[in-house]
Amino acid sequence: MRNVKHVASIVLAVAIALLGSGPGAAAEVGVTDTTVRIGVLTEMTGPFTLFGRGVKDGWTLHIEDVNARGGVHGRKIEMIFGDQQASGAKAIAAAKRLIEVDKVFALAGGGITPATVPVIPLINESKIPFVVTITSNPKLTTPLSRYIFRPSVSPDDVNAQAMVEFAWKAKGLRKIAILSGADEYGKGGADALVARLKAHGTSPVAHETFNIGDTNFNSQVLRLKAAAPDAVLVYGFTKEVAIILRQVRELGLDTTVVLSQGTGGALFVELAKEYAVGAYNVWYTGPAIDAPTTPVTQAFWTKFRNRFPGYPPSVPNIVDMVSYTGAMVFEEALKRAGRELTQDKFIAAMETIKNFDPTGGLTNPISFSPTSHQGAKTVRVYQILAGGKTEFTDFIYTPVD
Amino acid sequence: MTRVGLLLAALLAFVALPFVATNYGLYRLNLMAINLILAGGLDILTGWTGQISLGHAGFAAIGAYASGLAILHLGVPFWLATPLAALFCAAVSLIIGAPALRLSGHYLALATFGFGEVVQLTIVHWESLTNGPRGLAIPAPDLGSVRLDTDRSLYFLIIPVTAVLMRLAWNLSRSGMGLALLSIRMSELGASSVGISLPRYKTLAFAVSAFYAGIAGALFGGMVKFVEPGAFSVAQSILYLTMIAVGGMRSIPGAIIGVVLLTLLPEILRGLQQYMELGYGLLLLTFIIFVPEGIYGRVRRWRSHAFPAPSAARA
Amino acid sequence: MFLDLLISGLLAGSLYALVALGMVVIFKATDVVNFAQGEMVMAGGYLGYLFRNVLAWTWTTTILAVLACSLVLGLLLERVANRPLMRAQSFTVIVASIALGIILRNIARVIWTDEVYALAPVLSGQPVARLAGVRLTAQNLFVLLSAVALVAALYGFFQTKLGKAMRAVQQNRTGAELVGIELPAIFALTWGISALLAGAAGFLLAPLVGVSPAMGWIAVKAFVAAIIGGFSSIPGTIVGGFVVGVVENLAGGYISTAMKDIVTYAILIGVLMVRPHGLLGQGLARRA
Repeated sequence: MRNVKHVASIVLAVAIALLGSGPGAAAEVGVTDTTVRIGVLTEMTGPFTLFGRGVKDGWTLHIEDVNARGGVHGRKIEMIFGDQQASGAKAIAAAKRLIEVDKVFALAGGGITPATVPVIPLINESKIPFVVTITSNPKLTTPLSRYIFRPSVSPDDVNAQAMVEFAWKAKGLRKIAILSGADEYGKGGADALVARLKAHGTSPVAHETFNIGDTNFNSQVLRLKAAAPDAVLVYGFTKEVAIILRQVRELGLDTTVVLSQGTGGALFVELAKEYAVGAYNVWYTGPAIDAPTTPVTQAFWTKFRNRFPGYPPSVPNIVDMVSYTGAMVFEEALKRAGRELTQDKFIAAMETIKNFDPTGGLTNPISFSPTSHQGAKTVRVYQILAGGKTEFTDFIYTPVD
Repeated sequence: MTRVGLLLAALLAFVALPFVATNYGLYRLNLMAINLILAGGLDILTGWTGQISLGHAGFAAIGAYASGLAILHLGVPFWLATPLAALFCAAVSLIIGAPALRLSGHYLALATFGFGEVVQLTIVHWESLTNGPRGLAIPAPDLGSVRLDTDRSLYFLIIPVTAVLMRLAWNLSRSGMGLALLSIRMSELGASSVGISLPRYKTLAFAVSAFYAGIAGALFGGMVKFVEPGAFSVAQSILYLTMIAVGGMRSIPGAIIGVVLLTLLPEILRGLQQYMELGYGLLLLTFIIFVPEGIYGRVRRWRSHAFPAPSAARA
Repeated sequence: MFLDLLISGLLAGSLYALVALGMVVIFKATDVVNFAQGEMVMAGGYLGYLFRNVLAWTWTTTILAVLACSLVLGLLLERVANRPLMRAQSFTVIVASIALGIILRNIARVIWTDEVYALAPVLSGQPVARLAGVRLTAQNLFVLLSAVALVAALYGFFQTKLGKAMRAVQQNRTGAELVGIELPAIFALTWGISALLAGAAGFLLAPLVGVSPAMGWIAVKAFVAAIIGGFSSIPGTIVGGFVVGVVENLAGGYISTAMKDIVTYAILIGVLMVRPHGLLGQGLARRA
């Protein structure tokens, strides 16, 4: 009797597990006469939903526009969302579902690095295009994958190089310390910072790390203070770095602070208040941060808030911006690929895009080629001023390939 | 239908399944099986012995990293690295378990939580060993000359291993040791008063559950081919606890139900994803208050009311 | 560096002590470790944001409203998640309070998303004093004074009739019942007070760390503080909070910043194993 019970529950489990999976067949293209189906793969739940929301809303904002105009070559774009849940295993599962069950034409979005990077082998195996709009890890474009494109977000190694060059060249500082988060973002950034310093024949005078979710960074700040640096390069996200800068001020660490793109944007300026005044921040989109202070950002802000009312004042932010323009790049490639749409033609079309700037400055001009799938590489630096204002410096960094 | 007939049919279904299912379905099934191993092991500790653990993802992490590192740096083949890593987990459980076994309830919960966090933090910061938060790429498992890098081939490894481990767990629960564990759960004082050695049995339960978690971790690493510390957080530990609490403790069908329900919950709530974690918290709270015996426990109760057995003592 | 680490550690520790206060109040009366205490702190932060930033009330009104709403929240939570479990096993109670924390955190996320909100400090963030190398701001002093005021108020409350009834339940639940003290009412009151303390802590914490669903994570440090105090002694817990703040600073300063949190957890596990009733508390009768 017990064996039957066990077998019965096993059969039930298997049946449920395989629900929604038909027999395996060769992947279709996800294209019909009237629709193109894409899968948006990002963090929909879990601790990093912060980013996924921007990916989802940014893509939605533009794709709805496209469909309202009748689509591309008579085909509307249908989006299906897959949830990475900040986990490599779950991202792979979600990607598999989108590819094999939903049979999408292409993937879009991407999310945080530890979830997105493990999906890369699956992408290459399935030969499906992937337009990544927010993942900043270098592995997505180096080594080059024929299928993965990244329009706007500059990779962490380029951001880190820009930070070092800004301190070194623009400010002439030599005693440089590093403070990085103990997550893959911080570690990736820190490794690139150290490598760049090494290229200059030097190493950091101090390198401290901090745990995500912590609120007490006194020991890190005081150890840095003991090393008496000219500059501290901080690689982390908004919440922790805002607290860090307050403690930097309270504990009397007087030095030049250069921040990574993880703290870029209006929200950080608001959160860190007077403690961020004087700090520099790298930025990889157009000559304005994501606050609605220029005509271009204002136009985007208004459009976004009309479509999505009820969000907190810090939204839309840079994630929304780059996802929105990423969707525009996607549409452009669909247009160039023509009515006879295949994944190969889509990829070839993407590679013809040069200096593409559809919004007039919301993001930097995007260029792809058969040897480079990183759309924009220029990094700028702005300084945070009193009263929540920001001012761009003259510094511009473009990596030499 | 005869017992042999049933077994043959099950065997046939098992072999035929991967040829009719998609890779995606098999991947999901493999993941559920791995979760079942961990949940089943945890059940021995929590369901049977009544010891709460908020850090079991830590054992899975040790299993995944220990076997992964052994394969990468020592050239140990997968079929050997996995059980060795699991034994290592059991050993670790003895070290931290021995003093912790004097604790109960809230204190044990806090201690096991602390353990899980220490494991995760160690992995993050011991970069020279683990590559820290960037994670480790692990090669696909190979058994001799066969490389298991498709969902189908992994299925043929994972499912039988799961079946064997669950059968062993079931045997354990029906044995004298199982009774001893159950008596500890019901009353530690009572159990020790009839001569059941609390430290010995609690330690055993801890070690067995750690061993199972280690196997699950190693299999997970081999399947996903990538391990990173974020996958082994306290949220995961709580998820495993939820699986057995909601599905029903002290029963294999209960563990299966819990694993299936919670692994598929995100899919069930597709489109309502921002409410998923909230739903999962509500599920846990509702069940723990109103249905503490879990889904399967409720089914069992309903069945015994609807179809009272002539001699209930036999069951 | 040592003096700076010490002073800033004491400041950080005062916050941990404040959060731990509420935990200990609940534990002493109901034998329950409230794993949702952190989320109750988070609620205080969000309430502060709601009343001050969204509804633009004055500081005085905001503070009173935060305290009042926190109290009500505590009563509500007790009714929903503690009352049905008065006679349940500790496993059930623990899991229920964990689930409660998950629910509260996710309600905040659904309403306000994962974004971090800025709550301005009541007093300015400009430095007004210096202790060694540490600049104290007016807000720092406000936090310290508020914490002292809350502890004093708590002790004052314990002198009242109701407060004495609570202490009676803490000391001997059966005895208290026998003399006619209504347990459910006392439990409700206990949770209400604990939530009030948590809400105040959240309100004080918010300008320092930002308001977000993850705010409750600070409760982990508070657990360690409470364990050091043995969960049974309020002065012990306060000392415990300071100890955690100072030790984590010293560990980070002299061993390595990577080891900082590992040392904190090691203390947690160590104290639990060696003296579960804490370094400063007395042994407690545990729920069977």
